[in-house]
Amino acid sequence: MATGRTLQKWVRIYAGGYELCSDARSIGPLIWQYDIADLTTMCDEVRGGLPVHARLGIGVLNGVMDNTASHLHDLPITSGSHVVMIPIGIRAAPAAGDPVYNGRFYIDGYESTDDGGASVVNVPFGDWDVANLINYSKPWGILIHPLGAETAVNTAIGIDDRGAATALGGYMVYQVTAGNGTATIKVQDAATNTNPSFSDLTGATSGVITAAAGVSGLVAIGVTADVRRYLRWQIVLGTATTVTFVVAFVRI
Amino acid sequence: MTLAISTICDSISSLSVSGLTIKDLNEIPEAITGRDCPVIYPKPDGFVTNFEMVRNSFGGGSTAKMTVTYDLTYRLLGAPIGAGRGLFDSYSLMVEKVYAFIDAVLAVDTMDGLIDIVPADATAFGPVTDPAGGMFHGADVILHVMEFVN
Repeated sequence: MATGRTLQKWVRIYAGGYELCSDARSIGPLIWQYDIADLTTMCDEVRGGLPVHARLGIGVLNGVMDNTASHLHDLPITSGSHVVMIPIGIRAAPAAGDPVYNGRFYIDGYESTDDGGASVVNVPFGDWDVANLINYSKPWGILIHPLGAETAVNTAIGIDDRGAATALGGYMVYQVTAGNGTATIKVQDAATNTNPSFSDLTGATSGVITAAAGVSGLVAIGVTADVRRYLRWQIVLGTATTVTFVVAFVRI
Repeated sequence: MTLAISTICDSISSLSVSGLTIKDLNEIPEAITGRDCPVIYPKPDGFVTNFEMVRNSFGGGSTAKMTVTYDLTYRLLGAPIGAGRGLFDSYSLMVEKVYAFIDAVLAVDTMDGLIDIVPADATAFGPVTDPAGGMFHGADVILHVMEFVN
């Protein structure tokens, strides 16, 4: 992961198991706001806030109209809320360690309009799906595995996203855009960054999924769970021989 | 990050376009012959235009984040005018090379020295001169470049 500024062309958008960046023209704002309660008394030195009453959202996705399978037009057709991941690559395609905005949002609309002759769509997303709340209000995590195909278990070392272990849990987010059978996607952690040191991070697993386009998930682990310093992705192939996926982890 | 015009021109000269010679900033020819064509090189008169700097953050010049944009003009020579049996024998080849060069720029994901590069314009299709004043079928291709400073 490089550091520094970047350009919008390095933003990627994954939602509901679809890769949408080739259709998207803009998205945002990526919202992370906390309510401020107007209950401040005269004796309070600072105005109070509500630290766990967050509003999250990804604003409006504006994109080109494309009804090709697994493109933007497929998204509103599938019912329910959508797991969304927005990795931001730093002057290059997103790589492990790059920031990712994550969440589960409903689509509030799907508006096809004309823009200078081209057919474009505006897709406003709503707040976090209240039927699928988790015990965390932080949307920003780090990319563990950029979109790509894997055909074997991971024996590589991981990334150091925080510089130290934490004990406040977190959640794993994944999107599968292609595959040919069953597989399990996991996040592993380790105290030292060597292959033998990694083991499964308890609870951070997709479970057995049928890998195909349109598969995604957001899996929270316990709020007091220990997460060791180094993180990496892992895959257990069932009947699948190849799975194309992206994984992020939000460490609290 | 500092301005890197030499690196950028070197990167552009490293683009691969079949049948087209792309010259670096230090390779501008003094004169072109028919055997050198088709060739594209930094246009000596008016190579850099529309230079603009936008300050993106607080701080002194050594620390403030700045975005610099400018245009680079390259001249493509397809063939000497009158080199074929007809006046426009080589015209189509020249146009194809211009578009092949633009295609190569459009396909750039990352390029050493710069943050972003896009074709901005293609002008002067028709008779153009080489640095020595010889007449060629050619055109100018203008590339819009973005660099980050600090």
